Amino acid sequence: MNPVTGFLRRMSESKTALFGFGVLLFFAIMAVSVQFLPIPNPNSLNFQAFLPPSLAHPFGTDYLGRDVFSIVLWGSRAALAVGIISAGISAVIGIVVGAVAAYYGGWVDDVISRVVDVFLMIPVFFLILIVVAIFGGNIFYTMAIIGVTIWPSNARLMRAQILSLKEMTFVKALRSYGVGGFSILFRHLLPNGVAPVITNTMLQMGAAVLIEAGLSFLGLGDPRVVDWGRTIYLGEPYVALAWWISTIPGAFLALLVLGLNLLGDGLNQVFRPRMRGSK
Amino acid sequence: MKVENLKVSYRLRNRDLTAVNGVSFSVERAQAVGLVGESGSGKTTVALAVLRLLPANGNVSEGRVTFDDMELITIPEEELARIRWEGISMVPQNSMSSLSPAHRVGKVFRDVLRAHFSGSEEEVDARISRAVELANFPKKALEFYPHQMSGGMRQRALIALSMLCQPKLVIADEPTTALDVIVQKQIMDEMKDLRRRVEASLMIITHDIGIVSEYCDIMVVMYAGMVFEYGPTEEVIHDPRSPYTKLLLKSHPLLFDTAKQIVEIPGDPPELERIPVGCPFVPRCPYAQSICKEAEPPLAHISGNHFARCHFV
Amino acid sequence: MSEPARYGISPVAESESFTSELLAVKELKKYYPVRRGVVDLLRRSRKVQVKAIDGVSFTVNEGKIYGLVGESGSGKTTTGYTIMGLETPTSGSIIFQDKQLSVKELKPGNLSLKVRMIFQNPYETFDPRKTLWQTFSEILQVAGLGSRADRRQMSLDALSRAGLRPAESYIDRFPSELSGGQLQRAAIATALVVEPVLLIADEPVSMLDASIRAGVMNLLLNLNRQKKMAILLITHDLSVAWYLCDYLIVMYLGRIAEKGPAEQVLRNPRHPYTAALISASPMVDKTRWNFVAMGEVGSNIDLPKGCRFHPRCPFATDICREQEPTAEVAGDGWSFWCHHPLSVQKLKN
Repeated sequence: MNPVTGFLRRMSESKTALFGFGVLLFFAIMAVSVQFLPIPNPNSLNFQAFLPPSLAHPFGTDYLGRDVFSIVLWGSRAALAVGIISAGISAVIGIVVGAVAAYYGGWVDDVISRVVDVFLMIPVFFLILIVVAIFGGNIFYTMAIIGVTIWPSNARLMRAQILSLKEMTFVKALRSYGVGGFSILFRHLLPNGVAPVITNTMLQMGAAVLIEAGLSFLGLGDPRVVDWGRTIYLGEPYVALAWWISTIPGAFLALLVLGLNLLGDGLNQVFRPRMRGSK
Repeated sequence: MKVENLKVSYRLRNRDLTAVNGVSFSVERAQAVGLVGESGSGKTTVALAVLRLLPANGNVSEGRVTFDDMELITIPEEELARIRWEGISMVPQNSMSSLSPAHRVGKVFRDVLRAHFSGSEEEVDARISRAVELANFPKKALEFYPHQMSGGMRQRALIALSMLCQPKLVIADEPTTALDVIVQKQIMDEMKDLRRRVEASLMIITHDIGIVSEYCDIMVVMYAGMVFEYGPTEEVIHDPRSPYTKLLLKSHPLLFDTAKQIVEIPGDPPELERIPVGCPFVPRCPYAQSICKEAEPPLAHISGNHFARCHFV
Repeated sequence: MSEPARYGISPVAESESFTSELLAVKELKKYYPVRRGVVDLLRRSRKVQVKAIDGVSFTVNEGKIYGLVGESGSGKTTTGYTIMGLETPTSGSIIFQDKQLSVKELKPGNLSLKVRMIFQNPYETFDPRKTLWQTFSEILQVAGLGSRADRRQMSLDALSRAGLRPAESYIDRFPSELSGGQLQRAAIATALVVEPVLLIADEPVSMLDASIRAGVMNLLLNLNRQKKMAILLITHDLSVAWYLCDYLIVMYLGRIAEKGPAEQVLRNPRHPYTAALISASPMVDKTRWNFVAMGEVGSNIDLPKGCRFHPRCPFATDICREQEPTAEVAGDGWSFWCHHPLSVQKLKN
């Protein structure tokens, strides 16, 4: 069967992957279209504070009189940006480092593997806390620091894939044609082995969104950005009085992370169809 | 053992694919029967169905398997558990993954025997010694772990294991495929010798006609889930009647055959999803007529115990 | 180590050389180091090596089919890989079309316009994510052959010469859309597209279903007969070798046991190992070929002293346990390495 159509068909058969993909699509559309929607500016303080959900303010207003519905919608941008950029940085570093280590082997592999081990020992969240505490809550720093601390798991996955793929006959065949090592690694081995990294990247997007939300919840977020974590943090003292301020952004955060996790799990099944029968 | 009109299908993506389509043959006492076929011919599925070891999506839709007057397809699981090992035992294909890598082989022998036999420690030892001796497996190697043994040695261990409970029938699935040719011959010779001594029946499942022709009394040729030829090995080899068997025998060169001519069979064996209507061999058969595309040929009686599937035997 | 002179080119091999010699393999050795742990280093234990090939010399003439036969561990596949440049030899040299290639020059791509290889497992020979056309296009691009426009036609021609007709219906398929037999033909086509003078075929039919082997074997035979393409066939199956080969090179544990014209070697082997291989083949006359070698192939790490085959040989005597046999000539282009060569009489009883 054609690999592309095969992938699409298995994808269409996996409810988990489809649901996760649906959630991600929902948030992506939200993030792209939010500026065209007839909703108030999320930073305008023009409304009365602590208004409960109503037709005018579907998710109510917060303690400064900002529209929570608007905050939630605009907040999807920050959440997705954090997820995509952090996980993207992690994927790129992980793929290149893991692939190079596995393909070239020997001392290259030894050195890289030890570096990966060192990174795996670092408690990521606390490292990020320190960096943010020093450099201040800039969302770009946050994205970058998340990205450069979570790549080791991708590197390990990629390394394992390439290690088994490079023993396959087609690599010998390509070498016998005279195709160079660089080309074999990046044009043939990578596309064949990248599936688990993509799966892991989805899970890491979820993790990155949570880490950033966690930072904001601790008050270390970027104050210039409309952000779910910050909203939850700022609404927390008023939970008893106005439950909607923290709860609704929290629910959206949970939904996005759930969707990303399901997409990751679903893709895992789609990429490894053999595992399905054994359940 | 007698297999009658066995039909097995696998459920895949809401479709039933027939892997074995009406297979009948019998294994008499102390007889060696060889089931030969290419990939997808259904030979392994037959063995799995007989032992009721089909995967979850496999299902015997029709047919009977009788062993010593017991109906294997329907008897309850507890009785079946007794028949396995004691009545019918199996020599599996891949010798590395068939033995627990964390245990010495001797321990595996003891555990298997303990599960089926309640004798004194001496009797257990005696039985193990006999099985090991039958399979030409050195007794001191019982202390080894699987990875410490060569491929031939592991296969001998599996053969000894299958002889532990003194079964009446041993089913060997590609017993020597992974081995070097010389060791392959050693082991097949040993199995032949062993069979004579214990008078057990043997069913060999293989893709290798060479093995069947040298070590089996009866030969069953399978193609696309059906028996295409069935009969005494000598007779089938020297006077094959179904075109498939005929061509298959001519398609492989023989050492010292001076003609040095082999026959090409066009095309590929059919996939389970696309078995042709009528005779499944029709797209590849040089003798095909119009009837072959319409009607499934019967398994025609040739002589004695020799049957072949073709409209024009 | 043995003196190189012993395993140097025999007088026979030299007499072959004034016919059209294509390839000469000389004293080829390939040792793999065994990774040692800290304990071994501390103990200063001997450096352990796997001797995959240990001094192999033979020649390949233009337009002939050579069979490299032997069991696992014989080094037959490693020999093929080394010629192709997929493995770097530890020592030795290869002379190809009168050009001597040193150890350093034996790298993939150096001979890839003249020598091509097909592999045992056709299902893994192609990148599963590329169509046949993408693979062919890359091959031709790397080889620097044809213009962009020519390449498709060249690929179609190669596929159809390999028996995949009409080639248009195969070229844009993914490997998973082809059967094993079709894939092996496509693999042969990847070689044909550069018109090599030597094809190394590593067990080309052993993974194929019985009913499709004949087609692939005949394809190889036709390419040899029509295109005068020399073939180095690596196989464990003597009946395949009987059918295809002009010459045989029988290897055991990294060394040649016997080499010579296929028909003569098979009908009247001088080395007990060749006889053992013949005896293990199906449907041979059991009254003549009743020669069963004992035990299994030994280890390439702890090689037996003396003749490597002696632990399995029923004729082994003290000299076999002590001294490695030297080359002896049995006929024109036929030599063997054994202290107690078989005669016809010895085989019969």
